Amino acid sequence: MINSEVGTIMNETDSVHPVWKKLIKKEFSISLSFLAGKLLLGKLQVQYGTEPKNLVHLARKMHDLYYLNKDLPSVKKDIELINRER
Amino acid sequence: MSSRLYCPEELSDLIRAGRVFCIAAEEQLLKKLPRGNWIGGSSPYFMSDQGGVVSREKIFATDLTKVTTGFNITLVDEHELKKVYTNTPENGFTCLILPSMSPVHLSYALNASEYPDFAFRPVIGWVSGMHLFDLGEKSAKVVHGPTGEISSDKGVAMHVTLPPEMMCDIGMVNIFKQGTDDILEFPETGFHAKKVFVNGEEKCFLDYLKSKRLNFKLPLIADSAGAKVNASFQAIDPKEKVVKFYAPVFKGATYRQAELLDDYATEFIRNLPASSERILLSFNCILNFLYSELEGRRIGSIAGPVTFGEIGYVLLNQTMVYLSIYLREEEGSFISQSQ
Repeated sequence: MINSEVGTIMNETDSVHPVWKKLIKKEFSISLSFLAGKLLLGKLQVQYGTEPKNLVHLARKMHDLYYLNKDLPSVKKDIELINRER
Repeated sequence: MSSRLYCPEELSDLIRAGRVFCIAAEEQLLKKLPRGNWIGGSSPYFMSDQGGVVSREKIFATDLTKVTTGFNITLVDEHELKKVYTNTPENGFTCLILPSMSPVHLSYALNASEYPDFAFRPVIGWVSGMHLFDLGEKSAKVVHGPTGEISSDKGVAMHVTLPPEMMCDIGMVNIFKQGTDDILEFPETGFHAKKVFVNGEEKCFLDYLKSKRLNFKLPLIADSAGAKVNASFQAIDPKEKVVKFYAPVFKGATYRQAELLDDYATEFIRNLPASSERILLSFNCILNFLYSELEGRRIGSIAGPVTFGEIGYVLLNQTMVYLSIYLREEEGSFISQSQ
């Protein structure tokens, strides 16, 4: 269901859509609702600052958190916002 | 209601009947409860449906029986605490209680975001305390209901598996916004600070606070991708020139003091979730209770223990955290239907 709503940014097998990398790199800024998402993103953005070569891994982690929780209302709200930045 | 104040005898009967509870009360009341399916922490402060309450006679309990298809209750030392996310069921949550100023409290505060599976499984909870009149005389406690074991240095965790049709989410109410004044960075991670970098310039933190006449009711705030994480002021030690916090400040994080609020209580009530019918558990900081003067004051139907720290994936402070339950494929509330 979520994939039809938001295109391909949420996909179990292809988790590194560029939008997730852009999110980690702070190339856009959005107000997230999902508390776990905010806290993990803050951590991953710090990690990216010290280990930029791990970007793909960090982006996958962020995607995976959202995929795992894709049915939660707060996650659906965030996905809609993130999808606008594709 | 699934969360409310009980007389000890009434709650004891329900525990004996096998119901599953998260409990808060004064230590001497917790000690009297029968063994069973429960976890507990010490606090005489509660938010009830009748408003803020301070009681040494009543017990606050949330009945989790109807949302639980399985549960596991364990005491956790620092080593076990590292597995708190990993041990949380795939479709479920963990309710964690840590005694204030215990090794597990300090360890969780400093390291939670480094534990395996951080953020991937919901961990909510609170830091237990004591009546403020007893500060320095008593220690905070947690209780492992199945054995009755009481601890002041271990935490207690209830790992709850939800029915397949339910899912949960943790929310946080933080009424504060970062102000626009100086940028503060700390050279060391910890619950206290001597030095601070103010806009990049190293200063004695206590001297800085005095010179700026900062309001101690307003926490320092770090912004983690939009999650505002507070470090609230606890005390100053003028002799040692040390400033103490209720939650740690982190090296590498950027802090600003919170903006002044027009009215603390009004702002707190304005920021509460519009609907409380999905909320199963909530934990509200004692600083909100005191500064909003919540004793005897009702804040909607949100009920829960008043705490010495909140847990919402990480240790939080001067916030309220809550766990909401949703039905899959349905927006409606289950709690009002099933309780």
